[in-house]
Amino acid sequence: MLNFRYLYIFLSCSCAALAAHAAGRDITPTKDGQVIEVLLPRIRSFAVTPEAAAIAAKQAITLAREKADSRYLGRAQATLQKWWDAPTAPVELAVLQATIHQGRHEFSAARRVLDAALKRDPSHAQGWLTLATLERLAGNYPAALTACQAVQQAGAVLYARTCELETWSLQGQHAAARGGFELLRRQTTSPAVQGWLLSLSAENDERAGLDAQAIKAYQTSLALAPDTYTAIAATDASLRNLRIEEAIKILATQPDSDAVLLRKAYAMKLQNNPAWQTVTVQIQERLDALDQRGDDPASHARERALLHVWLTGDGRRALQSAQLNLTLQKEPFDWWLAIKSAQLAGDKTQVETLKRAAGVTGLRDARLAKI
Amino acid sequence: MTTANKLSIVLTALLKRCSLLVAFCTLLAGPALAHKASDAYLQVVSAANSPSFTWQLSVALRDVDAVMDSLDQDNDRSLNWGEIQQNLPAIKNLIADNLETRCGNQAMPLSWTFQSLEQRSDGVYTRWGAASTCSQSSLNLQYDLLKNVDATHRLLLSGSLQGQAVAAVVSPQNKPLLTLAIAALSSNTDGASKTGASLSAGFSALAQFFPEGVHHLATGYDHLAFLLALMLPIMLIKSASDSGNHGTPNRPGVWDLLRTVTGFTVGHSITLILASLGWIASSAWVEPAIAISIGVSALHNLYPQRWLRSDYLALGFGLIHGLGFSNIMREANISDSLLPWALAGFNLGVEAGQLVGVALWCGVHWVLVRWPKYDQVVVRGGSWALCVLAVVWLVQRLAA
Repeated sequence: MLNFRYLYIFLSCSCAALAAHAAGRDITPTKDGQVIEVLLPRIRSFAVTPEAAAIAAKQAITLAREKADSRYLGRAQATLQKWWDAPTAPVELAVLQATIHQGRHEFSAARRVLDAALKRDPSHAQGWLTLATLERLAGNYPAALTACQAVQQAGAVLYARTCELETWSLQGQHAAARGGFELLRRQTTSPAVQGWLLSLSAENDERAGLDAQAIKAYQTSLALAPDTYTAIAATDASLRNLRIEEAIKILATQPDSDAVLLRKAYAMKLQNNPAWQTVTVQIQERLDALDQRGDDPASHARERALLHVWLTGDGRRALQSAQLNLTLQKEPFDWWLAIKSAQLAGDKTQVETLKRAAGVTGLRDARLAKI
Repeated sequence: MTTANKLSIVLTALLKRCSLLVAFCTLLAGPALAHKASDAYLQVVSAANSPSFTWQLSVALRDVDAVMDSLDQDNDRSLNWGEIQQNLPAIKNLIADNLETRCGNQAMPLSWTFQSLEQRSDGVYTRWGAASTCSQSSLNLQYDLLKNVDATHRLLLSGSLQGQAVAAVVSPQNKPLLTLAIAALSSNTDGASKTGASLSAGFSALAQFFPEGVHHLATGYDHLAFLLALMLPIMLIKSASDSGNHGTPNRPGVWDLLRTVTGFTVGHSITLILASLGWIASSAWVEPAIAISIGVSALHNLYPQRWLRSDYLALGFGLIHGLGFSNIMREANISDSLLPWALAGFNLGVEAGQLVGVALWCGVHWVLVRWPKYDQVVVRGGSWALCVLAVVWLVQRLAA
């Protein structure tokens, strides 16, 4: 006999969904007190002095990270407008400009601005630190180590050391890096710094192939100092090890950025939850909305490749996007994504070529070896 | 195991899954997050050989807030409908100051009218409408909104000019000027743009508003739900459960269907015309009343009252639904001379959409009516479901 309970549940759910959707397009408020929108924190955009501009830009950049809201990067740029691209801009502001470029995945622009600024002031620790990040992102590990040394000379000892340890870790010196992070962690009592160091240590563990240890470190790090970047990294480690419930728990605490939605959909798919398809459509719509703006397609190529590898299963498109993404960034995750895509596309030659290319940079990562 | 049993197991499993899916999608319709940089949307439409342009501009409240301190005067970072209403004139001025339109080289200021609030993937937007005529070979725009506040703000333009699709991106900081070429208009339409009432302009308005009518009916689920509530108990052919009457009015009836649908048509046409001509006005009670009309009709299916006939219900409540339809005509801001044409086009579109809906229902009815449980599941179950829907809508529309 047809179970009527489910028929009724289905009908009621459908009705509620229709109602929600109908309300989602046009909003017809009925009372003056009805809350329509929650506004973002205000930042002062009309900064006159470089000092005020720096404060406003930093505030906007932090909000962009915390809220996973790209609008703030545009606002940050506007606060720096008077000094944007100006060859005589205070170095502090040029470094902030580079940070904004970096946040928008405009890495070559970031590098151009940083190179010029550091020539003018070689003692700017934050500038060197950002450059080191860009070098690591591009797979230039020796150049990254040089930048780390400059951070040391500029007097930012803790940051110089983590900069070096992170680079060593990428180059395969996992045990040395783990010891280094451990030592630094014993020297601090600040939960924020401890959390940060633990997240770096967790990444190192993943590269060493110690996933269980990495997941534990990520979880402790998130408990001490939650941040979006670590949450995504922790989710990826959990999902790779099919610890889906844990991943879902972490994702539930995060704002629905494109990266978070991708992982939510993938987790649902792994659980055979049919809702993954709806979320996939939503992600596709978001990526299409981004394309409509006419921004550089490479800047969202990582998300497009993930969409195909995890959700649509379209190997050819995945590989196309993953290779475009590699022209922009070469973190271990990007190599992993490209090799997975090539595998999905059935292109064995490409799998080998990519593995070799990753090795040539000096990258040593257990995750790539396992594919 | 019999085939019927297998089928019911499969159906049950399917429904279980679908319920989860739909329930999840409902949850997804929560507050939106800004996953992308800031955009405003401008749509411009003109039909082939018509000098009339209709414009729609959507601007995010979060973006308005960035340049207008008065929007959130109490500074609690939460924006309510009262605050928005108070600031509508200021937002209108903000748009006028930052979006300059020219017909060829001549200034062509647009007179924007507030249309609605709309939810998009990254927040709530205010939508504005305007109309203009231009017989030159180009339209020129200059857009400066958020120029000094958000360096990555863009105006995304889309639509169709003379039936040709257009799309463009305007950046207030880097490229604030945009020129749109318009295919040459024949000289007599130039005259039409001045009098605004030539036959071709009239037909073009009619053609333009016909799809609006279809679209409005097809996406205005409440009108379809009401229609369904009226049609549910009507039996076009003898049902398998005819003998087992559970109190549902089981009348034979193509005539019943025709009378009911005609009643609805007559009802909503009357108020739509009166409201479009400005003789009566829609107001806040209309939307909740539409929800009530669905609930009353569905309850009537479950507990029929002898004195209350479906076609009377259709006619009476049709009057209220017509006021709902009229909102869109009021927002379109059409010139008086073109209004009858646009009205005819829109109403014909609504009727066409309605006929398709009725035809679809007849198809579903035809397939399901032989099922022994038709009366219990489709008619009574469907009516209960519509009651639930009506309550949800009513609460939503009344709630703060």
